[in-house]
Amino acid sequence: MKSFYHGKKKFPFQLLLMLTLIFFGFEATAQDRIVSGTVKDEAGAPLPGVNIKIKGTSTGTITNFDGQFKLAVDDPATSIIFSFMGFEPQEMVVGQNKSFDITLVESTELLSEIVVVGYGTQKKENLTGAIGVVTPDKDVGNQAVTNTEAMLQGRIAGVQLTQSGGKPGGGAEIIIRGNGTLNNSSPLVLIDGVPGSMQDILPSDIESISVLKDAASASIYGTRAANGVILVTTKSGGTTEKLKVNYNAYAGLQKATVLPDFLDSWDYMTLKNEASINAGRSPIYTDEEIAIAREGSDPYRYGNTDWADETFKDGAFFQNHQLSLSQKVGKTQYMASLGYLDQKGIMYGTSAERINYRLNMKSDLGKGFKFGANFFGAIKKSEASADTDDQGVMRLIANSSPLVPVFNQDGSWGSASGNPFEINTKNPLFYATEASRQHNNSNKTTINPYLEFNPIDGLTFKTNFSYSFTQGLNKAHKHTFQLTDNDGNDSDISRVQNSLQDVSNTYETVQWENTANYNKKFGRHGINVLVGTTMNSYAHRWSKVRVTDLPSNDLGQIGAGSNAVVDGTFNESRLLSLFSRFQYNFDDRYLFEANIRQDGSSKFPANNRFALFPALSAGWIFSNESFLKGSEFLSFGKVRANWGQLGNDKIGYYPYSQTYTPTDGYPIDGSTINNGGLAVTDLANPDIKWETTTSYGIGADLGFWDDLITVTADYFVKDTDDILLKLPIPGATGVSNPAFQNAGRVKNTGWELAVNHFNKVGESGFEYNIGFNITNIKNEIISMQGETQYPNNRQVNMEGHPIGSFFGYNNTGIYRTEEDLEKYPYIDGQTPQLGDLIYQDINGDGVINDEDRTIIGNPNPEYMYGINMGVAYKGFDLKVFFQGVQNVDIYSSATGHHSGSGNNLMNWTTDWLDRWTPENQDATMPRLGNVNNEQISSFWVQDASYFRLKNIELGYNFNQSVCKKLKLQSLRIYANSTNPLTWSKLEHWDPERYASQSRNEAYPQTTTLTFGTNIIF
Amino acid sequence: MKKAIITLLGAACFSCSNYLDLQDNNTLNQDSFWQTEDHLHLAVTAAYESLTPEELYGRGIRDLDCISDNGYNEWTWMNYWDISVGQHHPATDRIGWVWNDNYKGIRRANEILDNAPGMSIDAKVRDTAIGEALFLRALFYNNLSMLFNNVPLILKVVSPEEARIEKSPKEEVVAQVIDDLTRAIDMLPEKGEAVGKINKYAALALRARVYLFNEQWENAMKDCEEVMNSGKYSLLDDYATLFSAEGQNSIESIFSVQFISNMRSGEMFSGTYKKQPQSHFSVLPNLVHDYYTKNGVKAEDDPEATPFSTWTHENGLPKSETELAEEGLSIYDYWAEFTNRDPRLDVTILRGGEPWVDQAKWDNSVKATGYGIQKYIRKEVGLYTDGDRNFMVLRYADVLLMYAEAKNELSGPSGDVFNALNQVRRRVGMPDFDGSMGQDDLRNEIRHERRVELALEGLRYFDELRWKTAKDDFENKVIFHERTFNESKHYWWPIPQTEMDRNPNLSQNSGW
Repeated sequence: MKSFYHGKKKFPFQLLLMLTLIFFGFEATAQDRIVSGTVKDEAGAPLPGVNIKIKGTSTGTITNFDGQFKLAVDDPATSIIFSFMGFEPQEMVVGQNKSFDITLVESTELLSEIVVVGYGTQKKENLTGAIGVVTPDKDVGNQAVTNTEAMLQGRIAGVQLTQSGGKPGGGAEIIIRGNGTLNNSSPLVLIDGVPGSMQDILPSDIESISVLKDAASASIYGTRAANGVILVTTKSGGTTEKLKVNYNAYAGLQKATVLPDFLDSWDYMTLKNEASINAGRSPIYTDEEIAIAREGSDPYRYGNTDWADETFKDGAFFQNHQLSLSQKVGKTQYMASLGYLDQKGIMYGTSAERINYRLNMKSDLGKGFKFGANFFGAIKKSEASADTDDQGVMRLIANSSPLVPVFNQDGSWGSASGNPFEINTKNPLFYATEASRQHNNSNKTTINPYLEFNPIDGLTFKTNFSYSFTQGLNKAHKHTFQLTDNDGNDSDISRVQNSLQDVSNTYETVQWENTANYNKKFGRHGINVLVGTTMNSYAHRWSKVRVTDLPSNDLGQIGAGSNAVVDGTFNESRLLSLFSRFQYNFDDRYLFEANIRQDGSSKFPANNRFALFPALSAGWIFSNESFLKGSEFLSFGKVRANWGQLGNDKIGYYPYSQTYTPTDGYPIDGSTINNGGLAVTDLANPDIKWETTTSYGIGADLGFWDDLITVTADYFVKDTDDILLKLPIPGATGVSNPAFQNAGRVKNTGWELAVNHFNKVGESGFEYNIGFNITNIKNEIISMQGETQYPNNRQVNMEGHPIGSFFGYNNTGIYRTEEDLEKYPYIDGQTPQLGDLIYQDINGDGVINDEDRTIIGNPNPEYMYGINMGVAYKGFDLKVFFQGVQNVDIYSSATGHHSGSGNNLMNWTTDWLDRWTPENQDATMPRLGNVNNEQISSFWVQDASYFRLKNIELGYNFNQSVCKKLKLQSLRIYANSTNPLTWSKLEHWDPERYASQSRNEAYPQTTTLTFGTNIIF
Repeated sequence: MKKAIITLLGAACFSCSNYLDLQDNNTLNQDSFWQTEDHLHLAVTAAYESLTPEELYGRGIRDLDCISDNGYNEWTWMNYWDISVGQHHPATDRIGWVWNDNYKGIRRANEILDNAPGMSIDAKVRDTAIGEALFLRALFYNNLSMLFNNVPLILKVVSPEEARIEKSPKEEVVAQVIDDLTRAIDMLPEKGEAVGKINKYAALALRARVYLFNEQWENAMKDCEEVMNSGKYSLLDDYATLFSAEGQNSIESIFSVQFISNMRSGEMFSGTYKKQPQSHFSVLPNLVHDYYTKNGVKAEDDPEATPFSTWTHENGLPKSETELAEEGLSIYDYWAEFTNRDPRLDVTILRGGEPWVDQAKWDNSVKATGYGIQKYIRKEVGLYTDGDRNFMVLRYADVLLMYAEAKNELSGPSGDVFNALNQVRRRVGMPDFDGSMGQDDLRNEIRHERRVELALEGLRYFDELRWKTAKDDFENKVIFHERTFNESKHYWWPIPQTEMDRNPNLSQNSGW
């Protein structure tokens, strides 16, 4: 039978190099003669530990440290198979030869079959837990990802990734198998075992990414694993003496996927007047003013500015270069890489640069010892407006009157129109660019030396040390200015005091891990035992200095200012752990695995400091049973089941200690502040303990028709108990920030399905593949001790409902007739008018009040999916990747979308032309100007489901003759586009955004078009 | 070799559990705090600091005037609009903010009251701190009892569970406030060691206010007398100076909340833009029209004056120059009319045509009502939300007016009453009160005097609530816009919905 995952391959891969040296010698029986030889790599270096097996038997041996072997065979017709991790296997017929010199060729598709698991690797077909794998080179291609985590989007069932938008230097939010906690739900990212962030790595340095989705696979990481674990494995050093140079570069343009379509100024004026009158105020604009705006006869006083269009550019440039070198020199392998990303933002005034570097080296010291060290880091710089407080530029775009010109006639910044109502228009383009500057710089370095020792076959010790240091500096510089109207008179837009703030953050992570791993096969019984320890410490130092009154806006250093305000903290947490794993494999049919980890954490009081996290899983490869062997239809079949527990300790540093927090100062003598006060501002809980996630599930992996079609299906339950909650406390307590309590329970139930098909059409050279994955997740808060939590005025955490559900009145329509006014009750004490929103009287008491609030939307997507397609013909290849989410709601109010009851400069989207008026009674939008239409209600909830062409890439690989002429190993050119097409009901704004982002103020997502090349020397 | 590696693995042993013992060294905790005088000083600073948020003396108390008949705030997000037109409800955010901030101050006071008595430090320092904490707790509870009537009475540091108690009736809350102030008067020094500190007379004046607000006339009168007889306070000569930088912590100030700029301790009530002061706040024509002429009578009754109604639209909005010209009137005559009024009008409000910042003639079309606020406002564009003006919570003129009101209610007009009232009038050059008035007429005049003397200082709303005159004054007399004042529930605020959600023992106030 063929292996499951890759029909192209004809041999079973082995486990991790150090774990796969299997004893066969004991089983050798009397043989007729001995054959011997040496196994070398392409560069001629001897390969120790190569697995040599007589075909069709379990008889075999391995090469010694000099690559030599001896093997007894009884029949010249015998075939011998040489296999070694990282190399293509070779089969030889013994014939009459007594001596063999074998050269093994480096394999290019290695990790597709060997899966990186916690503290080791495993054959994919022997996995008993739920692990998703992405191999960037193969799966992702040259998708223009400016943040490395974006590569995971839509690739793995059960992994929800939301990009924060196209802001240069922006990140993404990853949720694995549903949101299991009301606290920080981001997964643990380990880079070659070292805690870090995916932003620290260059996409092209990544060999593989394993996402440990269930407790069975993640519990070996204990308390840090409740939100899932992402294991990133970087490429190892070269295996040949020949230097391999790989250069990949692309450059292209970005633009917003969609920008809001706001009202023209004359429509804006008409609607503002209507809203003002309805709200009981006087109209703002005269008919003459509206006519001037419509005619465009006075563009600097009554203009028609499209602020969205003015603040964003079409075609922001970005470029990315990645260069890597790899080689084997003597007994040392290395890989070095350097990457550079330069991204101008689509919003004026935003940009980012990033440099990534890496050196991976590993040396064979002999006598079973290997020493290696990884050294890597990232230098990041980004720039944006510093006016982000409560009036970020995104909000200003919607809150600025279109009457105001970008520039006055004399070229100065516009900030007022001809109407005094607009003397305080914060020009968004000015605020985005000249009003202030924010520079974020960070520099992160990690050094990760390790030592391996395998004294006897199958036994490996490893000690792995890492130290990461991050220095971040955030500089926010707000300038003084005075803007004017078109006549040169000062407007109310000014800043009379400039300020400069330096925030410095340093993070230090130290981790030391020691593991011992023993791997052995006794006949049909295979076992693997792992024991290990971890010590981990994390320290964060924060300091802030803010000064004002710098004598010039050009001065950018703290020393130039006065009125210094300083602040700083230092926090540390530590972790001490013991862990063990036992795996048993009977005849590649029955698989069993047990994990246990004990964690001790400084974050908890001494009485609750230690916790135990067990996990069990089992699998049955039924296709290896005799009754199914040789089945044409079913080439592979496995069922598996798992159960395990995980912890979560992302709750700050000392939540058990009741501290007195510094408050702002008070000038008791009327003129000076010596220091602030001390008061309890956050309550502590001395009995705090871990959140525990119990996860269990079943799954199946199937292959059909020689694995032409493969299917993976999973059903899972993720049940998190003792969730640390800040349950709302009465204001009468006098403290605004409640203590964490182990009070909540959240359950995620779901299923995942992935189907893949790969085929080569005869010898035509035409290849294609198509893959599809879909995840369904139901999120439910099981218990909150009867309490209800309101994270903000529109969301609720309530028992029996998903986390963060939207909560408010259910809007059932608009009062359109006098009968409606009679029939539907209204808000207590208020009288509705025609055109107002009707709210459902849930409890039927004839009045609308807080009792009638109900769940009106779910911000957690019910379905997420990805579709992957690829075709290749001769040198051409095309990759197409679609991604989407279904049944997810957003709350869309305030920015561009509001009742008009406020007396402000907020514009509307063009949808609001269809508001209710006596002349337009069939309107979709309510009457303007009634504050009661702005009550939290389902009217403002919108379906943000989307389906988008996430990435499309067309590439051409030049054939060998061209490459030879150019003295290259390979040459590829490609064109790539991300987000070129989106289907969504949501208009004006991109549907992809964080659930917490409800005011339509997210930096827009981008569509990119890039051209690139990949050259290997 | 194996041995070495086993040792290596064993190195990360669990015996070294000290590794996991970390201390938060950023600040003091329950065990290390409350040891020294410095610690107590930090706690007291935090208690004073709780006076300063936007919702309280940083701006909000003054802004209560815009839910009275003095002011108008159309910025819906600030929530004053909803309250002024009677559209507020338990979930109106500002109601919750005000509730929470007063209780925050109460907790900080309770921290001191719970912990200071056990500290072995200088007794005088300790008693002063306790007296200050009692004063502050009383001030916050007085705010709560005036706005909400019945509120949970929390008199020690409480856990969230302990805070889930039923409301106490208003009488009980007031009795506690009086009790706290009585203790504070005993413990506080005659004179604070620094200008911003609470002293005995601040506690007396506050107790007078609480007595007055709760119609205990005799007690109110006595406390006022004690302040008046102390000789420590008097009226500042110039009314305008009182609200300027020079007038801070003057001889008239009995208790002022202190603010300074640039040190995260600024206020938000005094800032101005080039085009207008306090852009959220318009002054209602009602207040402008209510000031007497220089002759001490209503403009309608003064042959030497023209009522403002001549110059304004029906809703009180002043007519523009063009509109007046069409009627054959000159805007200069209208402007001149302001000099014919009680000088306090000019100090308190900003009218069109008055010089403002760099405008020779202020363009009042930026204000919905045509009038801006001028009292306390800085005359130059500065840090708009980080101001350095102190806010007078209790000043001597208020004590005089309280005395007059209490004594008139208690025993009718008398020389003492007129003497106190006339001091307030004479300071601004207004004629004396008509000494022949009866008790009822004088009551109305005292109420009028309080309005014009204390306008835009955050007292009008409280006064209207206690006089039970708000229906007429807010709903009927405000001409600029429509207001609803429902007497069955608008004399007190609803308990915030968030608080109802979080405390099952709490019942909603009647009418809500």
